Amino acid sequence: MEEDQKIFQISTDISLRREDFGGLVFIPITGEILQLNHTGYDLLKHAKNMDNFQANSEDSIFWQELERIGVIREVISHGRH
Amino acid sequence: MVGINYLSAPVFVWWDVTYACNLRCRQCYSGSGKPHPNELDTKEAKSLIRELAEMKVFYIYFLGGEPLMRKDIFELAEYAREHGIATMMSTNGWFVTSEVASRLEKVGFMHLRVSLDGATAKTHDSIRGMKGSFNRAIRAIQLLKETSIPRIGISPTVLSENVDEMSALIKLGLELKVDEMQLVQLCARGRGAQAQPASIDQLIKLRDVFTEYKSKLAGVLNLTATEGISLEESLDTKNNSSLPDFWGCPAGRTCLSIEAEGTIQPCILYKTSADNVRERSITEIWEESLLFKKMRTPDEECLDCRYVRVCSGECPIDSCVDYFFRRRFTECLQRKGGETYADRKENSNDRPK
Repeated sequence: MEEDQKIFQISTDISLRREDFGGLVFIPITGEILQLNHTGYDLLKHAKNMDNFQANSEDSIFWQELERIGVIREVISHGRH
Repeated sequence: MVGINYLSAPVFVWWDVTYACNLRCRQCYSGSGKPHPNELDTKEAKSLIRELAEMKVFYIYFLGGEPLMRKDIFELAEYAREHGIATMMSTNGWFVTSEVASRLEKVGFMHLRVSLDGATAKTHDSIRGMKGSFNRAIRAIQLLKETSIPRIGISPTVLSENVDEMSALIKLGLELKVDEMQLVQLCARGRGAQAQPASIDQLIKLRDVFTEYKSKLAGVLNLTATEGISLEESLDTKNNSSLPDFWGCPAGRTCLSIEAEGTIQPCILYKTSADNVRERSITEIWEESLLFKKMRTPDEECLDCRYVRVCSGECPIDSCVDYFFRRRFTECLQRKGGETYADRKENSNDRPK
């Protein structure tokens, strides 16, 4: 099966906070606050601690949404494998 | 069972850093003019910022009074940024020169909002009680737009005197290329208690203006409004029951306010003390304040409501917000008695008692 292999980067100085229900993400540049469940929160927190990260295709919808609102940006695309 | 109905810490805090102000605006909720004789000093303010950082508060919204009349405002803002807290400020714009705009940029403000209460100098200066304040506010917006501060906005308080200028004000905002505009409903606190509010009829008309422009300007100017003007149906569009979308009055659940002398309140308009940061840590106040606990406890009559997990009820202090709020959810209305918003729209002249 062919897949895009994309390398992403957290593009803003977002702030994260864990809550009982999941987590909150604050995007200073837009003032938006997102609510994530614990799985999403842990994924983003892990990615934030890395300079670049490769999105797992299973989570592509999650990352696409974060890319759309400017939390992450694609830095390299290796095309199809 | 009621689930999560408040956060581990505020998302943001409103902070009236001083009550000193050069203007005497007739809608001022804090009745500002002279500074409070016992305002938090720089050392105390920095200590509070450190505590907010430990709580992981996302941002501080500096208010007043006129925050730029506080000599250490740049120092405090920079200190907050150094501690990972984003910063925002409302100003009347009077003191914003090119040098001040540069300093605001340098200390890392993410968002500056200039109060603009009319589309003309006549209206604005009359409300603000100072000739020339309109021109100063416009100049401030222009200077701030020349900086790299991510968001520059304007925020009019809607009064009887200016409600009919809101369309023109939105157009002025577009000309000035502001990033956002928030229509703020008058609250009867401070000098605002004596100001003439817009009537229900005027607010209903304004809502139509707001709704029209909001969709028309999407992507160009982020137009928002406080409750009572906006009628966004946030709950009905949320399907993920595992996440709380806090709704209704957020005071004491997702935010709090700090007065210039350190008193903690649920919000800037709800003038009831939860305690003072000189007596108790803000973390402790957030967790232990009896006032906050009470605000987080739903009314008994609400316990069987499907929204009880996320809804805190209407603003406890503003009858007009209350009026619109109750008409937003029919089932809430039916339980509490009364007519629907649609019913009221047919025949409305007076502000509810």
